[in-house]
Amino acid sequence: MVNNIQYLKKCASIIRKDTFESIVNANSGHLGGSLSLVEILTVMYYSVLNLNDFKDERDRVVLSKGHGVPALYCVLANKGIIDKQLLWTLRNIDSPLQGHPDCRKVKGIDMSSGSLGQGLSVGIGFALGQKLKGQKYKTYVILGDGELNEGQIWEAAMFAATNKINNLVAIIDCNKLQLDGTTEEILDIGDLEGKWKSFGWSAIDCDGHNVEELLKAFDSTKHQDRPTVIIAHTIKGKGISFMENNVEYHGMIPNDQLKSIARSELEKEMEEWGKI
Amino acid sequence: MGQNISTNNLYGNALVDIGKKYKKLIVMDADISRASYTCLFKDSFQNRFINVGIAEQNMISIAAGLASMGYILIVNSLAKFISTRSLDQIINSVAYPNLNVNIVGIYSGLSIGKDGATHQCLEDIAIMRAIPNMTVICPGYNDEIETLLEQCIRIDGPVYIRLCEGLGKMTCSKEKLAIGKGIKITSGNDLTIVTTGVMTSIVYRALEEAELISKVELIYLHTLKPIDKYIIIESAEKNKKVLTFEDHNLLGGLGSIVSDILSERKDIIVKKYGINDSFGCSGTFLELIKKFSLSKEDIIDIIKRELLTE
Repeated sequence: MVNNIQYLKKCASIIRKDTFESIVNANSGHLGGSLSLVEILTVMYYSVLNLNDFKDERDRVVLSKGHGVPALYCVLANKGIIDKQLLWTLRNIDSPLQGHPDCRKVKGIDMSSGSLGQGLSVGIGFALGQKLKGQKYKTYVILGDGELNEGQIWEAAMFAATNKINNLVAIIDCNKLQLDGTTEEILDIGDLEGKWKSFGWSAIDCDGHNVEELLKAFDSTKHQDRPTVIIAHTIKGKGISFMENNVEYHGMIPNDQLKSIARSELEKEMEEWGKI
Repeated sequence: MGQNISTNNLYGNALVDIGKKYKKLIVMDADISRASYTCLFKDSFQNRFINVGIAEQNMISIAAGLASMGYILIVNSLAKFISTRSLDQIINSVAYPNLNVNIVGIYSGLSIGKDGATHQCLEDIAIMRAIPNMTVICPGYNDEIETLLEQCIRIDGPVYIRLCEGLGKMTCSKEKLAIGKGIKITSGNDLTIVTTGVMTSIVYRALEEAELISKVELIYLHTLKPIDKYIIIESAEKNKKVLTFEDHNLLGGLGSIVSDILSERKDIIVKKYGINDSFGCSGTFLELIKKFSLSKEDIIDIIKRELLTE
C-alpha cells in the first residue's frame, strides 16, 4: 500500500503518458474517458486494493465503463501484472488487450465489459459472493457519468441498498461529457449526490484528479453499513490542454502536430513529478 | 395436454432436489417465484435464493458476478422477458465470459395462453442459438426436466432452458437422456418428423391416434444447440422427406435448424410447420395451436397428406 502523495502523482503521470501512447499507437480508442480515469485507477491499484496475489479471496474490480480500459491496462502493466510490451498491441488483431476488457484474456480483469450499465449489477454479484464465502473483501465498480443514463444502474442501486451490500463501492468518473455532448444537455441527472442518497447509498464527493482527496474518499468507505458511491469530479481528456473538456475527444485520435503538443505536455508533467 | 401435472411445479421440485446435491447452486428470480415455483427452492434454501424484483437485466448481471465467483446460477423469468428484456446482459455479461448461468424461461411458446402476445414467446430459440457459447435446451416431457437440468448445471458455460407449461409424459427411457443427443421415438420408413418441446407429445399422440407409428420416424430434439445433426441426417437420408413441428416462429427455429443441416441435400425435402412470422393472441393453449394449425387433428391431416404425396 502506497500513501506517498508525490509517488502516486509520479505513477499517475507515467500512466497518463502510457495511456496516450498506447491509444495513439493503436490509432483507435477512447482518449478522453481513459485520461479522466488515471488518478482514480492509480490510487485504487497502488493504495486501496488488496489483490492478494489474485487468490479467490481478494478485492474485485469491475470497470463498467469498459471503453476506459487503456488506462487500466497501463496500470496493470506498470504494476507488473501484465507484460508492458503488450500495451503496444492494444486493439490489434488477436491481442489479449481488446478494445473493451475481456476477463478471459487478461490477468487482472475480473469481468468483461463494454456494453454500458451492467457493471454495477455484476459488482453486486461479486460482493454477494464475497459475503457468502465469508470474505472480508470489497468490490469496486467504476462507472462513467454518461453511463448513468442506463436504467439498469438504478435497478442495481435499489437492489444494493435494499440488501445492505456494504462491501460494494461505486466510483463515478464524473467528467461531465458523453459522446454526443454534455451529460447535462443529453440527459440531465440533476443532483447526483442527492439521487444516490435517496436510493439508500452513502455518497462522497471528491476531486477525481486529486490523489489526497481520492485517498480520503476511499478511506471513508471502510466502515459503512450500506453501499457507498464516490462521485469523483474529473476532466475528460485530462492532462492534454486541447483535449480537456472537449467533446470531440471521446473517440478521436489527434493529428501528428497535435500529438507532438500532447507529448510535450505529458512529458513535462512526468518531469515535474520525476524530480521529487 | 397437461395431464393435470403442472410443468412449473415439477420444475420447482426438481430445483429443490438438485439444490440438496449442489451446495454452490444459487437460484434467482425476478418476482415470479410463485409462478415459476422457485419459491419452493426459497423455502428450502433461504440463503441461496435471490429475488431481484421486476428487474431482469439486473438479475442476469448479478448472476454473472456470482458465477465468476464459482457459484452455479439458475435464473428465472417468463421466457418472453428473460430472452429479450435481458438479452444484452446475457450476451455480454454471461455468454462472452462463458459463465455457468442457466437461464430458465417459463411459459415459452404459446403456453401462457390468455395473457396474449406480449407474454407469448415465439422467438427465443432463434435468439438464443445465435449466441456463441450458449447451449439451448427445449424439454418435451415433464419427467425429464430434473435429469436435463442437472446435466445443464454441469456444463461450464451458459444454458438457455425453454420450459413450456403443459408438457406430456415421457414414452421413452430416461436413461437415454443426454444433452446434445436426439432421441428416435418411433421408427418408420416413409416419413421423418423432427420435433422439440411441447410439440413432441402432440405429434406422438397424432401418430398414435391415426395409427401411423409404423410409418413415421419421429426424432425428438431436447437439445437445439449443440444439435445432433447425425440423427437428423441418418433419418432424412432414409426417408427423403422431413417435416418439422414447433411452437415458435418459423424464422430461426427448429425448422431453420433442420434446413441448415440438410441445405446441401437436393434429394431431401424439408417442410416446416410452426408460427409463420406473426404474433400470438389471447386464447387457451388448445385454441391457439388450432389457430396456428398445430393441433393434433391438424397434424394428422398434414401427415396423411404428406404420406400420399411423393
